[in-house]
Amino acid sequence: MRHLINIGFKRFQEVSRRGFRRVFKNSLFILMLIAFTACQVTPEDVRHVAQQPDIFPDYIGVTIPAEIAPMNFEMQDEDIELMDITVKGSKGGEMHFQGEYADFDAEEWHALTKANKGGQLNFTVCVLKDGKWIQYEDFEINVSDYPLDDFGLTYRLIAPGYEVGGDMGIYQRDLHSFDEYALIESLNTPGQCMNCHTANQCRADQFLFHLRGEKSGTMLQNGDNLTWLNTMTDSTMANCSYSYWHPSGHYVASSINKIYQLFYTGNKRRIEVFDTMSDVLVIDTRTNELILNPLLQQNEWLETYPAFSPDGRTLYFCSAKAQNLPDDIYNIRYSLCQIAFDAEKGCYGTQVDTLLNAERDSLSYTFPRPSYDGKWLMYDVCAFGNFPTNHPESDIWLMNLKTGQTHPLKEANSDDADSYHSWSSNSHWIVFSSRRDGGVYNKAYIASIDNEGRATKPFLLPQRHPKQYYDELLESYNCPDFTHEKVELDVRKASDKIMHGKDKQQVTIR
Amino acid sequence: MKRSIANPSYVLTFSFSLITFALALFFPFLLSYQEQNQLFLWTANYFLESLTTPGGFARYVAEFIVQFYYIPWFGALLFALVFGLFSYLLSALLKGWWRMLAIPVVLFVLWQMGDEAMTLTYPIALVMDLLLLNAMRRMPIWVDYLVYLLFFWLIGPLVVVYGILRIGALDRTIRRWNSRSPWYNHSLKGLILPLLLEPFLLLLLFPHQCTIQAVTMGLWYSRYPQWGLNGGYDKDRYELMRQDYLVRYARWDEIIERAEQHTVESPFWSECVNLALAMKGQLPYRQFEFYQSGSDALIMSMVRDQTSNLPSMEAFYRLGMTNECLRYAFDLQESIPMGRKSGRLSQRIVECSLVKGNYDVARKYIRLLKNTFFYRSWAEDAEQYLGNEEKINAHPVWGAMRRSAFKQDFLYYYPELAKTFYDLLLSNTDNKIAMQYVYAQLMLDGNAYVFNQMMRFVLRYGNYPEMPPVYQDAWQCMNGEATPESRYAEYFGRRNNALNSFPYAPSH
Repeated sequence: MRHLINIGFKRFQEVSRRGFRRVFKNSLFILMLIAFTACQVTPEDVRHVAQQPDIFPDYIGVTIPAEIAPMNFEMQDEDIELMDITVKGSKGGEMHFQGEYADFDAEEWHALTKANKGGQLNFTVCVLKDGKWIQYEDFEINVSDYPLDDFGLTYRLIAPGYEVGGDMGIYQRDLHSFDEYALIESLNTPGQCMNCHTANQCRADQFLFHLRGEKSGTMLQNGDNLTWLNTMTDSTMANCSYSYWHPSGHYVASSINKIYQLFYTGNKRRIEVFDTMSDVLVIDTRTNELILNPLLQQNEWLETYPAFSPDGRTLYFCSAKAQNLPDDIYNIRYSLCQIAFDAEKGCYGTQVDTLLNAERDSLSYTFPRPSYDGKWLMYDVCAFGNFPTNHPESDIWLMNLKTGQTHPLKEANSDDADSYHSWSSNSHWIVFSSRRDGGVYNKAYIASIDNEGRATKPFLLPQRHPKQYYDELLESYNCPDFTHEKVELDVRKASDKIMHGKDKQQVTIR
Repeated sequence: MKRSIANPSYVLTFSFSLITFALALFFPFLLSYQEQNQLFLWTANYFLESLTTPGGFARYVAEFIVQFYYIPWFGALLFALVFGLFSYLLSALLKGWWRMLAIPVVLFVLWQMGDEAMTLTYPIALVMDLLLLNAMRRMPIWVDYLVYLLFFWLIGPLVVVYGILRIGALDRTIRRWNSRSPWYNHSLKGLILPLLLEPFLLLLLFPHQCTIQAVTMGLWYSRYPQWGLNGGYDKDRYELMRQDYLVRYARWDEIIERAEQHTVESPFWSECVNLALAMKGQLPYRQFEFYQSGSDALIMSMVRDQTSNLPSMEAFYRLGMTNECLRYAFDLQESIPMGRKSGRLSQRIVECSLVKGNYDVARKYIRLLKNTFFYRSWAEDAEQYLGNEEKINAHPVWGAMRRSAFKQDFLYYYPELAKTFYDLLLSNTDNKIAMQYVYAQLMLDGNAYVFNQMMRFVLRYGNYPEMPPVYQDAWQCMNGEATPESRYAEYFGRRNNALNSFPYAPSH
């Protein structure tokens, strides 16, 4: 019932929004078509141009999974009166659409992509401009052999601000349709800054998120149990920040960071985020105990961004020699390290190994994310610091965990910041945030990774009316991650715990 | 039967309309404050989004009216009409001399509205309550069950006012029927009470998605949950709002005139006055005639609310510190409760983004402003500048901001504000505001060593016929030659409680 109301209202909103705007925007020609003929027009006297259409989003040559939401697009040229699109599958099937922008029927689209798995979809685009038809060169979208079985994405939508988070929320989006659902929003926890949803290997029933500010803490859902934790103790300097689940669900690795921000006076960069202190630790989710280790809590080193390997035996993290900050901010570079972890005993190994040496390479390695099949380690590379999303030079790289060889994901990276990457549950799709479009607003891009670790050209998260949606959106997609099923969160319960401190549990140190 | 114009309801309505109109005209800055904390969009989506929270419809109507506060006299007129209608409906509800009860009620609501955090949603919701009561006069009680729920959603928890008044009205009817059927009497009374509890039953219908906070957001007829109990007309708070209003419209002379009459000892006030003095080139001559709050008297560090940093943002704008202006404008806007945007701040964001050449951001906010009534033409004009470098460079303000920009890109650090102003000045030695701010900040910090070192810079670039008196005074104090009438010594005495405790005293 509740979902029906939600969906019904969303549909009403979408239909109304589109309806109202379109009525005023439509040309007389279109109105006459609707009023008198109520049928489609056949392009006549078509002039062919030797170029591919300039479309938004740029879906030309991208690789998509079968049954993804329709890849709607429109011409960048706003003076286009009508688009006529024919889509033909290399393995059969065809669909046709005529309208102001490509707005494909979801069922037809799903059937066509399913039938053309491993093949291509060929798009023939004709546009009507100034009463004349123009046909562009065809373009193709590849339909991958790799399925994308996950339900969708979770992400935080937050204004790309400076010190004030403003209205924000954690949302989930069905990747096979355009439906978006709020998990928790500022409305539910007024005045609190919420951090990203972190799931255990795309599982919908094991996740956590942190809250910062006056009512800070960690909300941890494990099956039906919703636990509200105070993760700061007298011996640890701050609440947990960047977290990662152990595959068993019995542990969560977290960093505790003292985070500061400074702001540039020039035009090239906006913000520098840095830690003056940071450590890595593990929380035992069964006993709410912190498991500390001196190797991960050294005063002269900053440890952050922990991530467990898919077998749970290794804990990856980033580490940098502490500097005099902010004066030496350009000299702080993070190495990629690992330490063994014994889940049975809940203890660490005795030595830290360096996978990628920041000092040697004069680069900073952050945000390690191992693929769930254990083959790859994806991470971010930037010139310095530990907050790649603010570094235009930051790119996503891949390490083969068997050979130790590394390479950048050239096809997926851009000239602007590419960061916050995550794997799909079958380890063949990645989603990441990119500032490639305009340099300020992060948007979610999805790309495929083949068995050799090669990425395909990424595609922007599809929207029903993409140009309008992205033009009007005043928030960034932050930390997108795949979720295998739809996440269910009892918002009222969570909100009660947060706002009233109900059943807040204090972690202790083991 | 002819109605007399001496009808007490009409008299009350007319009186209150007049009083409210005069009050609102007298406090245009209060209207401006309300207007700059919301952005009414003429889109279907904005309307539909308003309906997603309880009280959203009342808020929508209130915001529709408040957008007209952009023109103060028209805003005052609309504000008066709302209060006129409120007092008319209230007095019409009562009979005979009981109508006089409307006077304290309306005055109380007006007093509450004196708190700048209270929004017009509050009186609008009350007016809707009374309109509903009139409309429901002849309706049977079962209709109330639907209407009450619907109006809970439309006007928020203040629907309880309707509920109570309706019960009172029904009770009179019941008493009339009492002699006819006692059974009917008890049945009716039994039905009335659950009426008031209906909204809480609504909560149970949405057990997970709808949190208590979400449903009771309608309680926030005020920007903060304080119900206007800080109401009244606080002189100092109003003076600060007035100064900000004058800064918004660059009425520098008026700011200085007001400052000569009334002082509010706060960094906000100091910032407004110092900016006005700098804009008129008077800062080196008159700075310490006025109250200086301390090192924050020119620029405040970030405060996370929607008001405190407004003068700092404006100072950055006038200085040509585009990034800082953008940052403060952005954070001020994001601090407005319930995700509301602001025309004033969105304009600044567009301007700074155009100056920085960040057209993607500018385009988004231009698109937003194009959906408004009063900022639309400005946005359409700004749209012409998107991507047009030559046009931006030729713009009198934006071009100047580009020319004033820092030559070097470095990290802004608030404790080193004087150094930042100095770097800005070095980037463009024609930046007169920056020149005044460098020395003003050095004096506020009591940075004697650097101040002494930089005196030659003043002589070189300042083009002053003689050393400005404020600098002379400070120089004398810093070098141990303070005169008894020294205003700088007074400032520093107040600040540090001892004239010889300069943090950077020169070594002799």
